[in-house]
Amino acid sequence: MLCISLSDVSLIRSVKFGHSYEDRLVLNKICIEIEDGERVGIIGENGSGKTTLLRVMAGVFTPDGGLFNRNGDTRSFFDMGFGWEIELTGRENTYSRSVIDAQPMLSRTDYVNWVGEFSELGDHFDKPLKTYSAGMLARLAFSMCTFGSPQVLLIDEGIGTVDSHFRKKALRRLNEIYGEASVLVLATHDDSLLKQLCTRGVVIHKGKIQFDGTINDALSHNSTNS
Amino acid sequence: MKWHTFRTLISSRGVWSHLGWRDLKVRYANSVIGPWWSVANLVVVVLSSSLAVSFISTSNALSILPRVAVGYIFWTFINTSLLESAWSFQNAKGMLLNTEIHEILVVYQLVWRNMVVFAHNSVVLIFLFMILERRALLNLVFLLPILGLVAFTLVCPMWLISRLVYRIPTLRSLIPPIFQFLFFLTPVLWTPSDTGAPNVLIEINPVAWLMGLSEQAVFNSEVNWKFLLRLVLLLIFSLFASEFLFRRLKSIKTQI
Repeated sequence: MLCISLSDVSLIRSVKFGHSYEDRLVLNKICIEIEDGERVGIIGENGSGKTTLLRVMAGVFTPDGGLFNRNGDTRSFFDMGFGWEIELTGRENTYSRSVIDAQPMLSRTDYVNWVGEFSELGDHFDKPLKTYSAGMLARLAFSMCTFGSPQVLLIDEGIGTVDSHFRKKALRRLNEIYGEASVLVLATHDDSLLKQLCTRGVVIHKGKIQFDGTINDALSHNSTNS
Repeated sequence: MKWHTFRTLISSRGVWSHLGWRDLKVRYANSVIGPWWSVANLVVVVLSSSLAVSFISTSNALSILPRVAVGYIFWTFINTSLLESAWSFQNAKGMLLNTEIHEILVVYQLVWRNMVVFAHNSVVLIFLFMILERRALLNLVFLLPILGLVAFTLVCPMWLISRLVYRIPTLRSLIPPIFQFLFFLTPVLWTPSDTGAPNVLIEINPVAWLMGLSEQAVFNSEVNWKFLLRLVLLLIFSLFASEFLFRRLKSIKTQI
């Protein structure tokens, strides 16, 4: 089954230079089809359009041209701690995220309980975020993002860092959700992570697809052309 | 024809209403008396303004107090909504760049938050009217549909301010003095009959129409049809303008 389809997708972004904005074509007639079961790595240098492409796939950006279609429950990991309010507790922020993510009313309590348990924050879960250490914030962010089994996973630069105590558990959970997801699209500069998780590689350069093939071929294409 | 603004308003009501409440919770998180600060602030402003007006005119402070309170509560709603919209996209940047949420939802969140504050501040009106204007107490109910009318009308200008200030951040410092100037031109503390203000100040000022409509409804149990018609026309214009913007404007997300 086709999960993500982009046909001739173009996107212009207004980028601020000093006091004025300049329109830049950041995606230029992108055509890509991702089917059920595929693990796709998006490869390219900084500013090539990887993150923008992922945001189009996530439905955050509406393309200026072309057609975009996506099927299945999608989860995107761009900025894990977005929408937080430091004056509110971990529990309140978790509930808030469930509302922002438009989770069904009935599953919100399950979500909050799961995050509280998985993050191992204990009593801190009911304390304001401003009292959290960086490690605790990372644990909360990680837990918020990895609940459930999304069909389509869109990840930008891997999933953040957590403290050493939590790392093993986090990696186990990541492998679980990577394995359960029907489609994984990962944009990163980490070649070993790409080789480990992806089977297909798409090289993007100046907003255009330069190469689409197996992950090993894509990585060698990228290294010879960069 | 699909009316996108209304569809978004309805389909995402859970999100904007939750975020509006959350904003208020955060605002008063470190305060002992919480949202009662806002009420206390309103009481002080209304009392001191009425006193000041009574000093410089022939009016009695107690007699103008209910009228000033009604005017001030509406002015606070409009002024705060428009001023806060200057920061709205900046504040919601993370959410806009990480979710499929449409930018207009941030405006709905802001309107809702200020409607809650308005409802909360209405406690002051109820107390004042119980003491000073008991015969008109029940007429305060008329303020609710008027609030709805104003809230829907504000969506379009708030959205425009949000976008404009996001593109040109220096405008942020220009907006408060402009609203301060408009406050003095609007009959909140003064009445046209008291001051002999030129009629044009009333005829071209939508906030003055609102003041006229609400005062006549509350104090005289009458509908000022002229002002109501103008405000309804303005509302219709604003709704169509919002819908036009929804369809034609490129999302602010690609400019963040």
